[in-house]
Amino acid sequence: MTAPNHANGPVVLVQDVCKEYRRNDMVLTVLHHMNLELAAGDFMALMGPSGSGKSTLLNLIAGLDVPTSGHIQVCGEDLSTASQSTLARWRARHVGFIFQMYNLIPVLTAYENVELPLTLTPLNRRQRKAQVQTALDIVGLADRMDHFPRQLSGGQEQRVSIARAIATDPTLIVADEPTGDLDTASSTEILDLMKRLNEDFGKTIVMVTHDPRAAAYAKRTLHLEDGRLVGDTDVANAETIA
Amino acid sequence: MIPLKYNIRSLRVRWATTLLTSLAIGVVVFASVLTFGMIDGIEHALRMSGDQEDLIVMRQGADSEMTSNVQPTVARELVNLQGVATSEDGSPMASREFITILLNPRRNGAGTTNVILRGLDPVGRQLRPHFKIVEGRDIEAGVNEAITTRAIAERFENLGLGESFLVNNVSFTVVGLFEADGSSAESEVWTDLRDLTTAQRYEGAISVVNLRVPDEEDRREIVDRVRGDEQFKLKVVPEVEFFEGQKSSTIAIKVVAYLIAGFLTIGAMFASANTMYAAVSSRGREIGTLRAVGFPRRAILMSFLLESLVLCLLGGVLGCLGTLPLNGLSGGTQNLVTFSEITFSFRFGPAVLLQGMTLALAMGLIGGILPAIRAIRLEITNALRER
Amino acid sequence: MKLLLYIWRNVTRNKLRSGLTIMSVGFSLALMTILYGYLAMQDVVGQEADKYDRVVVLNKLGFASPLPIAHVGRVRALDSVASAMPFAWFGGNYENKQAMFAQFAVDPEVAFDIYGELEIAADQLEAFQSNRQGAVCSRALADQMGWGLGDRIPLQGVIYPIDLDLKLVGVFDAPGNSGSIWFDWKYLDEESKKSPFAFDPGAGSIYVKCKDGDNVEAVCEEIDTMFGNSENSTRTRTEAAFARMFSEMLGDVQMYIRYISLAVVFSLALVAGTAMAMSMRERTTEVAVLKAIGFSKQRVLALVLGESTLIAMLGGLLGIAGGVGALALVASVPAAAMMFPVPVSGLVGAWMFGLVAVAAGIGFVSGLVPAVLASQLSVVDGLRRVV
Repeated sequence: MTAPNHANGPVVLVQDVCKEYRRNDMVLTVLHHMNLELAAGDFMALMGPSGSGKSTLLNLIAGLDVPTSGHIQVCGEDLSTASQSTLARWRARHVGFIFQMYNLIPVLTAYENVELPLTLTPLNRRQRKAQVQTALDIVGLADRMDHFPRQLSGGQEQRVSIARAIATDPTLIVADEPTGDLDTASSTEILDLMKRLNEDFGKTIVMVTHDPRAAAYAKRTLHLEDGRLVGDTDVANAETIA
Repeated sequence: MIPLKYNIRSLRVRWATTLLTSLAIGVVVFASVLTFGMIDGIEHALRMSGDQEDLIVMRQGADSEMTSNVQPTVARELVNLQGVATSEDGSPMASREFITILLNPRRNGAGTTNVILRGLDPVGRQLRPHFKIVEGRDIEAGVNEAITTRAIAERFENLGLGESFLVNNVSFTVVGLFEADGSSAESEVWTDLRDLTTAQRYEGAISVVNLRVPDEEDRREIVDRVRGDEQFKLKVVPEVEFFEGQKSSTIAIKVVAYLIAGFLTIGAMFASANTMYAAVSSRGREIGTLRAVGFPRRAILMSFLLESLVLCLLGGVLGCLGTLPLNGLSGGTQNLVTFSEITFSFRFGPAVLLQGMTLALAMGLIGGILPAIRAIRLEITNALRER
Repeated sequence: MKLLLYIWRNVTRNKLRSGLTIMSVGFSLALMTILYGYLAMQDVVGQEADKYDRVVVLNKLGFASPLPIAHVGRVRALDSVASAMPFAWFGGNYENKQAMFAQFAVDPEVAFDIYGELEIAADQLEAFQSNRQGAVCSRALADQMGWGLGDRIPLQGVIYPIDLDLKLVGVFDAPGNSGSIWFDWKYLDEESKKSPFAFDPGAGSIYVKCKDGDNVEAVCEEIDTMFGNSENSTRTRTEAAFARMFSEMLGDVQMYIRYISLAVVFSLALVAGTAMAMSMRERTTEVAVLKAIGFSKQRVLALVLGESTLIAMLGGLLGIAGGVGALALVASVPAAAMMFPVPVSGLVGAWMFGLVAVAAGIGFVSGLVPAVLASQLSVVDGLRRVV
């Protein structure tokens, strides 16, 4: 897997970002002047109560949404000013998604679901096949690739969705409550897998979660409340200090 | 591009909705193709009737054969004109014909209508495309016999093989059935020229003269000569042009056809739009995911348009297939020029089927565009949160 | 009443879907309104004609064979007949183009006795009777053509090899749309006698006013018996039957309209049914909740059927209104006015309620399957689906 060319700088750079939603005449401020930096190879958990703005922040970092003000630079691209089509192209190259509800396309098989983001790349069928197989091997589901999502358990579905997230070999993986819909055993499986992605494959990961147990897998945990950063524990650094 | 199999499988998952919508679209395409096939059948009959080499001589100002009359002496002169072809037995390829109308009841009890009754010289048969007797025999002159076609025999009282009808209280017997390549002759009853004029008490009367003139130069000369002759007061019309003129008969049916096709197609567009809107709204999360994964809006738009197209084209194919068993089925309507029955066979050729598929295509594109636009206007973040 | 309000809320809940279904039903019903409106017009024309105790005498051989003028006198002499006149279709060109109006040679002395419903000023009638080249036409035609009293109207014969030079001397008011011009039969006869090529025009057809309105059928028989053994035997029909004959001539097209309508109804039931099924699938949990709080099966059934019927009826009403509007629009175009002998407002009749019933029926049938499925839904299953 290739090393990103911007390995030196931070992968994610959030500067003075505000996000407001307008509903009728009410303005709802979800993020207040947020500042954040995330180095390559980091694994960050975003925590906070509902409505704290953690999902919004994740969406901004993932290029699904643009901030009302401030700057976001991810993998070298300034997302705050990019157009929708630029964002789409950028996501296809740099970001892998893991959702709480897995969001696999129900009418496509596991293989086809993983292959889906690869159809956006110039790879040919054979190259795509190699990538899909590698990804499914990593998540340990190579034997289930012809199954449809409904034929898989929740944990398996989530692993397919992880395979889909890493198939294009993105720099950044964003995960929105990846274990929110899973039992304990499956959760552990998924979190172990994510840890491996971070440690063995050098993926930078941003994960929103409610679950302190999930957050414990991260190197760094960010706490949000009412759209403001209220805490930042850097587990990895803390250990080195200790 | 999002793979087509995504759409096809999505349609299959919602198979009941897909099938019902396709079926509804199929019925609309079926009805439209049926109408187009009818028009094509009528136009085919008229097209087949005109031979490039044939001329029709009729009275100046006459707009149909029935209102024409040609003096017997003039008719004799015409037959001997320079350039008129000679048949195998040595007689000139010129047929003197007398046309009248038979007011005849339909067999199905749906009232009476006019049927063309034509008395003609034997050589007239060679002036029709591929004339052949398919049942019974051809007439003998002088004994009041008639021949007609299967379509007419089946549709009208007294015109079946072996049956008799009255012309001015003179009885004529149908002794044979003929075919003439689907031309308008197949809407007529034929008898001997002299038998008919005698029965009508118009001895010697002639309505038109049909000529075969193979050489173009000769044809032009004959047209000029007859037109220039003040004495004749006749006009020569190329047969092709003559039947072209009768196509106006199909105008009313064409208006009805396009009315039907137009209204129904618009109705079906709403139906396919409905189905596609439902598809889009039930797949919000899928659309969000596709967008998140990095598919551009264009790809989503194309994907849903394509899905709508597949849905409608499926209906189109069903509709077209449905018409095939009716190919060749005959019907009858009124020729608005001659005010008489014209029989036709439904024809569902490639051109007609293509028209049907074009309608299906239009339903798919126009019915699919708004739902597809709705699909790409979804906010990714909202779409992902949908149930 | 509460239920009805809830049904209405459901109809308007997914405005887009309901709107699309309504439009789909609307467009198709508009088409049916136009088609059936045309058929209804034929009926109305027949009924109108029934009022005036007239019969029409034609040559048994059909339109193309005129009746001799002597027949008129013999018909008039019958005890049961109040009056009779020749009625010959001239069918000429106006300004060397096919005229867009009908031209008839009539007897000015009795024309307005036979057509008692037409109103003309006494001095204009007097002028029509005393002026051999005089002509009268309906006010609608005069307005459409921009003719005033005293204008010359030259007509070039197409069927008859003669030209006429008419002068408009009167304008009559008709209860329906009548786009025809009448002139003196004697003028036609005289001009024909002058021309060496012309033939005896004859009476064409004969219009007869009966003395006794209850006995018109008997008059028809009496006339046909009288001419039964003559050279020109006749076929006499009441004016209503005569009008019907024209629509019968359309032949299979009429039948075809019925088939198309059947197909439309079928396809609409599919369309509306699909939409309803989609709505109900989305509301599975809601239905389960309704049942959980105590809605009976019947109530759920009524709820769904009520909704589907209401939607289809809305579409039907809209479509019928649109169809009538379209007919009125077409009827107001001068060139098409001839196709509408009666005003569109005169077409309102039971058939319209029939179409509303058809729309309601479509809605009811389309709701059946979703309604039964909803009423059979198990509360536990339905509620589980949400989680």
